[in-house]
Amino acid sequence: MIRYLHTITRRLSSALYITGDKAQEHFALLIPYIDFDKQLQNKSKLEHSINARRLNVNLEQVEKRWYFFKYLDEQRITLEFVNTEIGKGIRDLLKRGENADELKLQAKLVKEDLKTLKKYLYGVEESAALKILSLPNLLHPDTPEDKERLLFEHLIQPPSSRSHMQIGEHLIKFVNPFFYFLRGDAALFEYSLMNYASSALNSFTHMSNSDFSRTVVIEGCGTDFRDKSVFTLETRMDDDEYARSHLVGGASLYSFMSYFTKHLVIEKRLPMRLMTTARNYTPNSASDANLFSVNQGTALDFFIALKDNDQEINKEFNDLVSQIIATYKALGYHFRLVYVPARNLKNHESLRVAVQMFSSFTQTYIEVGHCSIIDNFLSKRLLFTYSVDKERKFVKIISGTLLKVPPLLACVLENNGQSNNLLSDFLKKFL
Amino acid sequence: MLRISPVTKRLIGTTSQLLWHLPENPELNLEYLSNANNAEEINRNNRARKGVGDIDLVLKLHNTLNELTPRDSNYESIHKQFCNELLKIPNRTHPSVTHLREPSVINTIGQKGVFDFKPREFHDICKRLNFVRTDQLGNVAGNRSYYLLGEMAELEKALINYTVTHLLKHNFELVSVPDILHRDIIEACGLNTRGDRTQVYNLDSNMFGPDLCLSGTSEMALAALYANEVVPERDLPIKLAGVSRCYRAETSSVAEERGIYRVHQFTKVEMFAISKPADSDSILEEFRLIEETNFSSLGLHLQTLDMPPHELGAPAYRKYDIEAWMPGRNMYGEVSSCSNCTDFQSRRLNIKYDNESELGYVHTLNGTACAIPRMLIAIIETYQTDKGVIGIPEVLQKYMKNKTVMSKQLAIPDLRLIKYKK
Repeated sequence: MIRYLHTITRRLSSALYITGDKAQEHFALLIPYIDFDKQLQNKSKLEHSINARRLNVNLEQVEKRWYFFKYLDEQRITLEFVNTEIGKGIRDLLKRGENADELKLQAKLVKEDLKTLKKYLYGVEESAALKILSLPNLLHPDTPEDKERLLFEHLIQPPSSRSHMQIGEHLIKFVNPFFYFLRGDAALFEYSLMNYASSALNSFTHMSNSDFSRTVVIEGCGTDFRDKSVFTLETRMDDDEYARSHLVGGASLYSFMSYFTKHLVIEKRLPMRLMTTARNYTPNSASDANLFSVNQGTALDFFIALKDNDQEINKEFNDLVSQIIATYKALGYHFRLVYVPARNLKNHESLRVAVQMFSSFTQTYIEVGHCSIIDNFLSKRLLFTYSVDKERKFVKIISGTLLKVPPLLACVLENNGQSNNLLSDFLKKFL
Repeated sequence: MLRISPVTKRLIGTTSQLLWHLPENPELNLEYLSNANNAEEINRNNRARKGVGDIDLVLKLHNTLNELTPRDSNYESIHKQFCNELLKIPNRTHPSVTHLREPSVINTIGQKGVFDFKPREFHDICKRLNFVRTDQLGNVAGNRSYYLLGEMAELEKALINYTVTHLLKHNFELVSVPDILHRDIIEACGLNTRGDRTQVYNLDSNMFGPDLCLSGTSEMALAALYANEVVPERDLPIKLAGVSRCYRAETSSVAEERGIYRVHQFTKVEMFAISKPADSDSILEEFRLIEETNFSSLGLHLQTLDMPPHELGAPAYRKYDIEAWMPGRNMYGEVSSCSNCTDFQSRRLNIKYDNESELGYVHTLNGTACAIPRMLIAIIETYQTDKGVIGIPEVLQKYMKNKTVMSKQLAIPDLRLIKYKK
């Protein structure tokens, strides 16, 4: 049957999963760890995650594709075995000085079959792998299905106000979402707030990260750069067409993952608690002329790497949530923490708690920070491992943003209702 | 007399409802530039500065234009060419430096430290103490990427905070600036943004439009902040400070520039001033003094250079470089500079002052208050000991939880590369 399968020409569609045929032309950094059979043992959980996130994924089709790949791959193994055996047979016959023409003919047919199969197999392997890699993380039991669930609330909603763009007219020069300036007290607010925030996470180790990440990491984190969810640089002379550079900013999950991709850490160094105060660049699809939809901001991002232990990650997460609450309480504004419903999670997140402040002008809650359990979802894709007795384990990850300046500044201006008390006595201590 | 109309303006911005214009044909000093009597002087200056301008061509085009009327069919294209050629003429040069063939040392601060062991290089120290990671990052982050780890990242923040505090005391206004800029702003500041050899990163033009670039210094954004403004003379000088990430596509294979000496991205605290023409010389001296005081208070040995014409770049009228002694490298390395750009940028960005009797173009100045990677190199090499720890400059200690030394960073572990692909 195999002889009748015709090969299909494919273009390179993924920087993360590069099959053997393309690896000759394009450098393949790694091959993501795929354990779909194991995932299928928890099929109902996976289905629940897909449905609750309202993803348009047909798990049955993914399964079919996977089994088809496995079936063909078994054929390949069989053919390769047969090929070796025939080879041995031919050598034996020739040694004995006998005629091996019949076996040679068989060998030719098997080799042709194998060649055709392999060509075809790469395509099947790629499409199966990419389908599997597009599946979401499982959901954490605390993730609500439909609506946000309140976890914590501090103080009461402030009264309605003018927009922060009006209140901060002299402090914000806004031309477009790319091009805005913070001046005077607004710049000092950013400066002192970041100083305060880094002091608040005093048990964390500081990092100063790269602002650029390559496509393999972007895709490894489940983002398709073609849909403009990250900034992509024009290719330069030294760039591989499929290893593009992306401007993400040091305060991003991508930048932390770039650091750990394809690396192994010694078990006793875990847990690792890291933080950075840096830029974050994220293309914003809304083109409103305000600080809620800007493409650049200063933020404090954290990244915690943990052993493969569910209890430990839950405890770490709860401790972190308490630290976040304490950090915000000291600022003296109304805020709340909510569990984000499944449909608003990113594919790699299993649980997300959002820190929200209130926009007194739009009368809506705005996310100013977050904290997510990623588990080992990204570690498997980008090979961030440790080993216990020579057995490979995947690192579990908690990541998030303690705060990002533009929306927080906007909410504080609106909560204050005026611009002249932006630098509270508390923040002045951090100037 | 030919006048270039400042009326035609281009729109800067990704959404059309947001207005932001730069003059398409800046009002350059035509009285000077198109006067044949000045041609020899301009030519001499252009040659000394290794400029790309061609004043003879400018004059030729000028004469051609004078013989035409705007109704002639080729008027527009010649006018366009004339404007483009005009923009290539570099700034004039301060008379005190026109004769210089090489940098002239005008000030020396401190002395080379004495070590009773062979001082190590930054890269070597960082490897031993796990301060910086540069290896195995090309395929995940990009060529010449680096991560500062633990106390090294704290030292970076301490330097920024120390510098900003210093500038606030000198009445600078802190400004938070954009790092992604429209091409025209960068070109107006005197940098080419196109072609294979450009130092400027561009965003993918198919996805984000043809004109977005990464800023190489916050000087550009700070200059653009005042584009098209008329500032009352009594408000001058305006002194601004910006902390930003700077992106430079330049590459180098020079051995001296290994490690993080020349990188594609770094944090910098920048000083920028807008002044009356009469004040720009003295503000340049103020910038130089701030830089010298700041770096010498960190215990560094420095020398200040007055730069010769060919080192000025097109916008600068005069430029000082400050070099710090790097004992491990056994050389002086440039850590900072400051320039007086007189009206070169203000004409291109249309920034004027108004003293109630007349409007004039302001002068702009810029200076590096602190550029991170090289400051780290100078500090780490200067403060190294043979005991496996690095001293922290006294003035920075209060920004680092009063620590006095930095030692091997254990919290961020040595990573091992996974050799196999799966």
